[in-house]
Amino acid sequence: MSNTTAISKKDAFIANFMKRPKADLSSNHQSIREEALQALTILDLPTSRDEYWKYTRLTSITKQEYHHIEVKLDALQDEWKVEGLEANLMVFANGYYQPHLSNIIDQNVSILTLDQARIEAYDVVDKHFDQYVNAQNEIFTALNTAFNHTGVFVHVSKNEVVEHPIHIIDVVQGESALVVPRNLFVVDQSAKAQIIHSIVSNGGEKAFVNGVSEIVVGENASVEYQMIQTIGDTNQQIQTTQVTQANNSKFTTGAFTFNGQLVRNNLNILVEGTGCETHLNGVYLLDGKMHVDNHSVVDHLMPHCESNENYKGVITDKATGVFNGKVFVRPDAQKINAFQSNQNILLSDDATINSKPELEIYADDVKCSHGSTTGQLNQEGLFYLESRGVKPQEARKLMINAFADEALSEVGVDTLKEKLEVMIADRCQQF
Amino acid sequence: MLSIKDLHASVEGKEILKGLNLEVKKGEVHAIMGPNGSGKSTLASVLAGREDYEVTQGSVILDNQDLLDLEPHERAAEGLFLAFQYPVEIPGVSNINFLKTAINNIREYHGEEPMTAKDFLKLVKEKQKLVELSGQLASRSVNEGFSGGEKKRNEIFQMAMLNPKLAILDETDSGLDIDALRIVANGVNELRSKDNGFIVITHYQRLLDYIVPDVVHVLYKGKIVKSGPKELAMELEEKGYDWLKESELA
Repeated sequence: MSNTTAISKKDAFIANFMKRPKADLSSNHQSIREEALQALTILDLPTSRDEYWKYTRLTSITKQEYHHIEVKLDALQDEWKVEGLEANLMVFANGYYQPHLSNIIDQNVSILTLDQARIEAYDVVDKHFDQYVNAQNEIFTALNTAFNHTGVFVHVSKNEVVEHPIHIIDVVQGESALVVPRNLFVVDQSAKAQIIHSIVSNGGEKAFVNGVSEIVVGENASVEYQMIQTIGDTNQQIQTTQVTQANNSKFTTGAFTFNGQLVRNNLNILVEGTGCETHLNGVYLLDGKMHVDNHSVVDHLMPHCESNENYKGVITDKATGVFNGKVFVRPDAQKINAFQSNQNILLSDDATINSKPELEIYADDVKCSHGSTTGQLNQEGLFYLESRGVKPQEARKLMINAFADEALSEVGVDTLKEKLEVMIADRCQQF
Repeated sequence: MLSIKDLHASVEGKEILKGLNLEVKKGEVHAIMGPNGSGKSTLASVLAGREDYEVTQGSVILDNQDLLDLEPHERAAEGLFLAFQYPVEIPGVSNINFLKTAINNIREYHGEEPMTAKDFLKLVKEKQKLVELSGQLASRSVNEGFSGGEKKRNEIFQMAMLNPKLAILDETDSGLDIDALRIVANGVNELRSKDNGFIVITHYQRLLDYIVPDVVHVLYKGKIVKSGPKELAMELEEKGYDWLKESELA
């Protein structure tokens, strides 16, 4: 009996995705989609009994009804942009491309919608699309593979550098929109790209964004991918980012989450090459009843690599944070330096953090450390500031701000770093 | 200017200050010496308003204002400054940003407009010279990674920026080599004026060679048991505190 209910709940949820007419795909991509559809018949909606979803209940996402709402945005709000930054701009609203607001400056790279790329860069898409994510075992990835709207395709060829950062703006609008963006970034040997991904709300309510990005970092290449989540208080998002790194490559990423009813980030980095460098950062600033969950996996397969993970959270009211960071060091991965840290400040009695840093080491010549701290603001520091005339509330803000800013050290785009500093400072005003 | 009367204070239920009296007039420097555990640092903490200290009796008046009624930041705004024995490291908060906030919060307390960026930077430049603090240190995170001497110089720099009526130096000389001591003392001497006062808490007479006090007090078991001219410090250095304890007991 309970089984039947579970199935119908799942089917009702999937029916939301099926409302949209199927895209006309090449036969190859049609078969990928069909495989995902096949997987969906077997996969179940996760519950808190699944270890991977233990601290995040998905009922608030799965019980709702959604619509595919095609919109044309009039203009971009200034706060969505990065002030002073000249960027290659790709804008989407509810998953639909907004060509009139997008603008590509750099002509030495392919920056297209995924739909365009299926025609214009068929061979690259064919080689990489859906080759890294796990649509067979993960229901939200399968849903994205089967029903994605479109998204951004970036291909940077060997030795090319994208001079201006690529800024993707995903806008959520209307009531109960279902947004399913799919991105693919392929950065070839010795090439370089910086990508900023903003998820914003234009008065959108009760939306669900189910996003997937695949990032391929070629040999000796360098990729920076920074995500800013200001999705709005009633909107929800599950974002899966799958990264693969070849020899001597560098990958830097950050997830900066300012609001959202429920936000879950799955970040999986497969370090397949030797001599790689990986930086993962995150800041989450939560109040009200927000729930933000960052799950990350760094899988070191090869020797002589370095990974550095630093997530920081400030949580107040009845908000909840979840951090689960896993680092695997496989038997061949000798001489690995892996560092992992999750620090949290709880400002109220009802604020919660579930923090679980994990190391699984199968090699013997490695340097790894991990740690998690949860506490209140340093009282001695507060007294020091106040004893110099700083008002108690200002002293709190200074300290919260300083705590969160530490996770910005790897942001390579100066104007973005300044924007994030201002956003963090503004957000701290509310605590 | 400062008048402490019959001050009693406890920490975790244990009485440390047991009826302390002290008068500091404008333009004066008072040294407070005493053996370990006599209550020197407790006095500094109580005056600055540290949370864990409970005042059970007495009053502390600074220019007609009872400090004990005020929060720590209000005491600072009224012109009190405590140079910490152990300055706190605050990663990520820049010295400059913090001082700007402090100065403007104090100005706001007095109903004044914030200081312009230009005036503020001018003041920073002028005052950091006083303690030979490099511009780089001034703009770094508060005390983070500073040496012992740099931390104490930073305390005096902040004091110079805030220009308090009454400054308390809590064992500012501890852990300083002679060069750092000289720089810190020079900074204090430059700031001495007929309008402000200092309480210098110290264990060692050495500091008082550089910051010459008008009055030396001996604190013992939570009370001032002896006061005298600067020569008293020399006597304490030679004889220790035992002779005082005996005379006190007698």
